[in-house]
This record gives sequence, structure tokens and C-alpha cells, in this order.
Amino acid sequence: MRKKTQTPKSIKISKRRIKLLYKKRKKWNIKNRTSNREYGHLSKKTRNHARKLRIDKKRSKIIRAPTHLSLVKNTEETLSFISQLDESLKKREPVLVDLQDVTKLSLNGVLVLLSVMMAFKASRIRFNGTFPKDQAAKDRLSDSGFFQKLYNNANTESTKRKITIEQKDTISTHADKKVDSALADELLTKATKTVWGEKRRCKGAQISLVEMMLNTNNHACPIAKGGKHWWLCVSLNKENKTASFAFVDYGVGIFESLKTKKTDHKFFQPLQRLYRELKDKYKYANNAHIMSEILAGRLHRTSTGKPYHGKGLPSIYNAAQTGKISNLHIISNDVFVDQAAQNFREIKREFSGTFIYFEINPNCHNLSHEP
Amino acid sequence: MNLNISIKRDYSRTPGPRRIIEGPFSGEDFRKKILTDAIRHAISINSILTIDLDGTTGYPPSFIEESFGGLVRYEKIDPEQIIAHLKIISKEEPELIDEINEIIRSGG
Repeated sequence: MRKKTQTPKSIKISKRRIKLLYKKRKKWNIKNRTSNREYGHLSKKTRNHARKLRIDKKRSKIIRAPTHLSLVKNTEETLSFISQLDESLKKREPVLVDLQDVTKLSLNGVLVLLSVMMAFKASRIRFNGTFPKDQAAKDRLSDSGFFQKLYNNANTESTKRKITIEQKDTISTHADKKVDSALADELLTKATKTVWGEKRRCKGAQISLVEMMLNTNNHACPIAKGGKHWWLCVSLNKENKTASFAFVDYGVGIFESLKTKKTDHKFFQPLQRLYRELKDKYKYANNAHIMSEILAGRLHRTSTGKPYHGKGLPSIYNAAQTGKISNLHIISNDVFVDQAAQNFREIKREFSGTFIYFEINPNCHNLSHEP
Repeated sequence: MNLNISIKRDYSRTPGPRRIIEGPFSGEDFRKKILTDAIRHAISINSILTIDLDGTTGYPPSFIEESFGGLVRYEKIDPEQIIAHLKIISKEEPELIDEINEIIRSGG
């Protein structure tokens, strides 16, 4: 009797199986030969990163950054990019941040990107990214300490209160939940050495930084005070003798925090809120108009409802109007403010949080360091 | 009790936020540790308390309001008594003198 494996049918089946296995093996060999040719000369760390990147490209959502990553100079596209990241954060989906096309990378763009990616890290959501192809943009990203903070082992927002990344002489990044006036003074002293060649006091800039930290501490988190980090990045430009300050928090934003007053009735709060919104709609064109009134001090608004609160934002605006700081920009919710151009406008993409940028230059008001 | 207070010398070069819980060198802390006792002493001996604001890195509005407005609001000291026994020196920011007087008069 013939063995079962030697019948014509079984021989045909095994030949077919061998053919399929051979094809698979050939494909696998070609794939590995290619990858070895591409990556074989690189270090093990780089090869591992490249391997993870290949995997992430298939499994993660790819989010492309605009060529000019700056909230001040390219607001709409940068906000669109940030909001895509924000959506993925809410959906808890892994992302691949594609920075390859970025040619201009500003300080405020780096800060905003870092603060969003830290939120991914804190939520333990997988993320990865590509470097900008442009060498200057790549160097700027590395110099900012972006990777140093993002890829160390320490846990972030939920546990650590204070975060410091001081990379080089020209750029430093800090985050905290409380108000730190001594830190603001330290950063300003360093900045004034760049701007005026010696230590000076910039009262307008100091007051502005303290008030920004205070606003984040008090209003960014609707549930509890001090629930959200603020992020501050300082960049020094020795050629132009300018110091740039970018400040951001991912709270609810100025207008969202103003909508709910702590003095509202426990049960009638939605009605009271609706009444205020309708009143505003009737009286003011939009949030940009309301912001211009608040900053100029013509309209008093606070989330606490107390008459002796609500002087922080007007004091920051006043510092810019009186030449103590320059180039002030504010972005919060759907409002964009350019103080120098007196431009108050609505933006299409909302920013959930508050972003403030200003500079100090040799024309800004200053005093001797020790009177 | 010292009736000549320099905030830079006697408290901090870097005035901070409004309340103690918000961060160091707050207006509430300054009021509780230094200002309240000093103004009460000045009132009790019918003298003038002088406060020098110069030399610091700047006064956030929240700090000023909590320090001086809090004297009326929380320490329940009569505003007219405070104004009668208080002298503010501020060569660097003279506008602060009127601002503080206004805060005290408005009752905090």
C-alpha cells in the first residue's frame, strides 16, 4: 500500500507549500538586506530608533507640522497643527509628529510643541517624531533642550511641580505650578546682560511674568487652583540685543475661565452663564472686542466676581503700552492680540489655553540693578 | 517696632503673588508678618509709618492690593486711620502712591 504522503495529491500540495515558503523567505531576505544596507553602518541606538520609526509610521497617526512653526508669525497653521495633536491626545491615539518640512522654528513654536508632547508623556500615550531636514531648524530644536526633557525617565505633570531645562547660554525653559518671582528676576537679570551689557531691572517685564504665572495658578484649571503647569521659555539674541519670552499654559483659556463665575448660584449657574453670554453678544461684536476692552481697563471682568481682582491682564497690556516691554502678543481661546499693531482679531482655530509672548530690547524702560 | 520699612531690605527684593498658597513673597505674607503690626503700632502711638517701595524688581498689582487692601478687608483697620498714619515713598514709581491710597480708601 502506498503511504498517504506519497499520493500524487499530497505531493502536489507539499510542492505548493514549499513554493510558498520559498517566496516568503525570499521576500524576508530582500527586506532585511535593504534595511541592512540602509542602516547597517549606523549605531545600534540609531538603528533601533529607525526601526521604531518604521513601526510607528504604520501604527500611529502622522501629524505634519507647518513649514513655519510659530504662533506669532504663522498663527493659523500652527494652531491647526497643535489642535490636531490635542485631538489625538483626547482620543488617546499614538502620534508621529512629522517635522521634516519645518524650515523656520521659533522659540514659541518649540515651547508649545514641548508642552503638548509632555502631556502625551504624562498620559502614557505612545509618540514619536522626525527631525527637520533643515539643519538650522534641527539645531534650534536640539539647543532648546526639547529632547533632553522629553526622553528622560522622570515622570512629569502629575508628580513633579517644578521642571527646569537649561540647555545653553542663549535659551532656557522652565515649568512650574506656583508663582516664582525669584525665578522671573533671575531670568530677567540674565536677559538684561544680553540687552544692555550689564544687570538692570525691568519692572514691567517682572510684573508681567508674575501676573502670568498667577493667572495660570488661579484660573487655568477649573477644578482646583494650581492644577496646571505654566511653561516659560527665554531666548537671548546677542546680535540683535533682544530677549524673547514665550509663556504658555494649557488651561481652559481666558474666556472659558471668565464664563463661569465662582459667585454663581449652585443650581442656577447655567442660566446665569447664558444670561451673561447673551448680554455680551448684544453689547460686543465678538471676544476680540471684549478682550480689547478688558486689556485697556475699560471693562472689568473676573472669574471670582470680586471688584479688587482682575488687574493682571490690564497691567501686562499697560507695560507694553508704556514701553516697558515690547512686541506683546496674546492668544487665548479664539482671540489673537498684537499689541504693537493694535490688532485684536478672532481666529478660526481655537487655542485651549493661554499663550503670551513679549520681548525686551534696548528701548525698553529699565532701572539700575542696585539703586 | 520699626516705623521705617523698606520692602527690599525688610521683606524681599522680588515681591510675588497675592496669597501665601500661590507662592513665596506674597502680599498676604507681607501683610501678616510685617505690615499689620507696624501700622497698628503707628496708630497706637500716634506716629507715622514710612514704607519705602524703591529698589525691588516691581510690584504686581495683586501684591499691592492684597497687602494694603487686606488691612481694611481682613485686619478690619479703619481706612482713614491707615491713611493718616501711613507715608509711602516711591521715587521709581510715584504713581503707586496714589494707587495705594485709592485701594485703602475703597475699603479693599
